Amino acid sequence: MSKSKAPVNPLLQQQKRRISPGIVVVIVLVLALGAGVAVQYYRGHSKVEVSSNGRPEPAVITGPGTAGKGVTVGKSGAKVNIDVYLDFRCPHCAEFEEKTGATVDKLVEDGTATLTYWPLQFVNPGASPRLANAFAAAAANGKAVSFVGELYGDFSKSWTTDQLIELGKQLGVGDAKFQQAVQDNTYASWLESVGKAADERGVNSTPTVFVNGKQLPEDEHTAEGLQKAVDAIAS
Amino acid sequence: MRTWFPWFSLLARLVLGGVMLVAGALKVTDPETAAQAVRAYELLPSSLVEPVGWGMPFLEIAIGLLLIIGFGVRAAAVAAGVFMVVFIVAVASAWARGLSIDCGCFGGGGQVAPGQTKYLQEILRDVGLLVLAGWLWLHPVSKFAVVSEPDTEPQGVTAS
Repeated sequence: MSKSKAPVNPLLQQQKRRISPGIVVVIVLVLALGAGVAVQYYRGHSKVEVSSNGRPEPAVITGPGTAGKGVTVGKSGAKVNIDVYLDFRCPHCAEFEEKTGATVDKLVEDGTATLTYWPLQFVNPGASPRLANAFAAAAANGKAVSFVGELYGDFSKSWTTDQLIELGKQLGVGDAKFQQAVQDNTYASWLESVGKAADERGVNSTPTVFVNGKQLPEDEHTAEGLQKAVDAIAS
Repeated sequence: MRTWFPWFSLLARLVLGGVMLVAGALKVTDPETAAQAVRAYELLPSSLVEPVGWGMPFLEIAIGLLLIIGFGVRAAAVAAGVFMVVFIVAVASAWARGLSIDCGCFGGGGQVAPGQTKYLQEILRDVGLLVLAGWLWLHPVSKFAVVSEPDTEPQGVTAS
């Protein structure tokens, strides 16, 4: 590699100087660091693309804004209610969504269960509140489940305010009211009340799941585990 | 210079480089989680958390590759050693402050339930790797390296 001599111009007295490997290593490391930050910046600010997987969108029973109450979706009259305490910047919540999303969709769709979202905002103080507020704005316009799916589905995105508004538009709920709510952090006080309700219930980590008030142990945070817990009540 | 030194240095290069490479590769695909793991230490101001979380995996991969191919071993070993010192200090401080977090060394990270922490294992592992980095700084000449160190010409027979 560095042993090969560069072609020498015979007309010039050349001083032979090798760049020491140490310098090269430093340069390589600086370039790597720059590449890392640049790649993520690009990914974070990439275009919003809704992965249309045809998720059924259940009706919103309780919208955001009622102090101390989460957002509930589904068919009222279901025997089972699933409470999910989540944070939109929590990696384990993204995993949970990926593992159980289809199961939850089915349970809600066939009227077995209703689903209550309790969006918390402590994982990333810089971003969680913004995403939770945007979720509330989408839920107020009737699209809670799809919005959650998209936020977790592209977890590495920064989800800037512009991206959140774009997502709302693509899901068909991005009207002026939605945009205003996203920009003005309209649901901040409601989110505080949700956080307080979670504290009072002793919830201090996400995701935390209750099935009809009974906490689902963490090792049951799977499609099967959730299905079993629901079946135990519904059957 | 014993005859087995270059062989041991080769082993050190592959182990230290391999660990760095794997640790970086596991994190590089999930920058948001890596940033989350950094944030859980509660050591950095929030403006620095993301660049560190996003950049560190790339640095680890770069250092790991340099060690494995054997280019600029002494400098790469110093870089790896600095990383290990930083990791040890960070984990020790998390332990001392009574946080319950996973080091996030190989992806994942963030808060875990109290009693689920593995601080001692994490620190011991990093100390072991730090020792390897120290060895490589003292004896960078090794078998099968792309570049032999210019300032430490080998006394024995090398295969490189």
